[in-house]
Amino acid sequence: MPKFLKDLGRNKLAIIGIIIVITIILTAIFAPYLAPNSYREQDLRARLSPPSSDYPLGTDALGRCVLSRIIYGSRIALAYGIVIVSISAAAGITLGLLAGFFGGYVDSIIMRLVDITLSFPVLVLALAIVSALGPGLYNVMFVLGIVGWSTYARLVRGQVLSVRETDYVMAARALGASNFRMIVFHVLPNVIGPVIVVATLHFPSALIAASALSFLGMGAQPPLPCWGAILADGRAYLRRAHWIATFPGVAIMLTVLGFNFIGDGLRDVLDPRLRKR
Amino acid sequence: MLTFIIRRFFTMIPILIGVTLITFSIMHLSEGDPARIMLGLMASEEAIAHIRQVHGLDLPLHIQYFRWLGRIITGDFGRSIQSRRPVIEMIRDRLPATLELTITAMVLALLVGITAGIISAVRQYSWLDYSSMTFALFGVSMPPFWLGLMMMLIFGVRLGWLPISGRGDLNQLIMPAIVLSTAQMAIIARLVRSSMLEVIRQDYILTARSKGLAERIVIYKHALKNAMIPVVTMVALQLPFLFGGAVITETIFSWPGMGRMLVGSLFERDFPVIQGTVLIIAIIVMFANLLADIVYAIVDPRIRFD
Repeated sequence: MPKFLKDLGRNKLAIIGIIIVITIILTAIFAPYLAPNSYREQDLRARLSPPSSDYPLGTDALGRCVLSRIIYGSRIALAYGIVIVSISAAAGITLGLLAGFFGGYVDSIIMRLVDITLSFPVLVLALAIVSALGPGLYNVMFVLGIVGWSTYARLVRGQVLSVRETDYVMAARALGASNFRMIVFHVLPNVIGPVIVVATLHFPSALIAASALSFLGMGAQPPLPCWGAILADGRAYLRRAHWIATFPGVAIMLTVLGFNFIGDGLRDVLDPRLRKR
Repeated sequence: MLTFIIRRFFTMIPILIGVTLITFSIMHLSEGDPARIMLGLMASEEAIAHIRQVHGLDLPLHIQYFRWLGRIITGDFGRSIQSRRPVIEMIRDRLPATLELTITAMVLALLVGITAGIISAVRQYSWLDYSSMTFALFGVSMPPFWLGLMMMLIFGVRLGWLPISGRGDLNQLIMPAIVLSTAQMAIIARLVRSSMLEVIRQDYILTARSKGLAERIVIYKHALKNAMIPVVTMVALQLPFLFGGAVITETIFSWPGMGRMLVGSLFERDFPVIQGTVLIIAIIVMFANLLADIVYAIVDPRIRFD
């Protein structure tokens, strides 16, 4: 087993995080077997009913099973996180590598782009763009992916600047390696550790941002069971049926906690300088 | 110091141009004719022609941008499609509410976060340390819209202690400010703790202690000052999140600020309001970052000579 996995295994919170995340992944995969009811079938006679044996977490205003909607919603939640993090990381790593490796004008332009992106609150910019493109699951993923690249770019650029001057990169250059070869085979593997930490910690914040957009009506459209949207449905029935808003929030919080635990653990393992005291 | 501020100010110009370019482009991202999108499918041809003419939508994009920029510089943000009111007036009406909420939340986050961080560091591994760090972990993990609804349910609906919406009374500020500050509070507490723990191990703290200074003076006068340096940067980095969070918090608690105005204009695709709000928020964030850099240069003189 690689050393960092052994070290990670000694971190109790990271283990709890891994257990939470694996549970959510399994829930998403086996949703049809775990959900007690359909996520879209309406039982109008059982509207707003409190938790019972038929509906363990109660029903919403259309008589749909809240638990089943949360279980199926885990698929959308994971998809949000995976797609958003992948787009941001791919864009950020590429631009960060270019900026750090080539320096000069390339670096200046990319770093000004980072400054420009960081001037906008992610949620505000994403809301504005999604409203122009039109609400929907894919638009939310795309937009949050695009606006989240700057952290990766800044981090990778910094790492590249320090790796660029090391002996082995110099040696590769002396041996006549092409720029592409040097970036992909010599620089990238050495900057990937911190990127994994940032990506693990980006996942929960991407999920919260996507859920926030869904909460405001910009995300997955009905009847898709997105956690943020279920929560928004429950807002109008807070007095009569608080369970509609309560439980999807718990699901979001647990997922976020799980990824935060893993991210903190990974950071301690992969970068001992940042280790929490 | 003045040279530093002037130099830093000039670096803002290209960023500001980029920010206006992005804000301007928002309207043109949508498929189809922006005039028709703004007015809806039922709009008459005359109304659409009028909007096209007012916004110069027939002109080439770069000309449209420079015309728009020219108007923005003179403070003309156009008129809302829905209410027909000048956008700048609407922003002027709403900005104080947003600033009241965000500044209160920031002050609250700093007060609680710094106190919790210091206590955690000074009493490392005590129950106080464990409980404040557990609180911090949950604080960063709770979605703000859920926390808002849960506080509303408990303190507003069930216990009836606090009003659940509106602005005007100090009571009405309590819940929104707590909801908006929770995540920041948690982040600051974690940062102050780790930063203090690092500083406490430095030689000059040992020197201060061996001089016989009281522990209180060592912690508050010597350690805290240096431990605060990363906090200044963090506060600046967190500002955009605070404004993003304000959009959610204002919507939940019907707080009459810019965030709620933005959400209201999204579904109507009231682009002049969307663009105006986004631009003003970005400019506020930029100036706040400038301010943070200046404060940073004051607390850490090494920065100025870089």
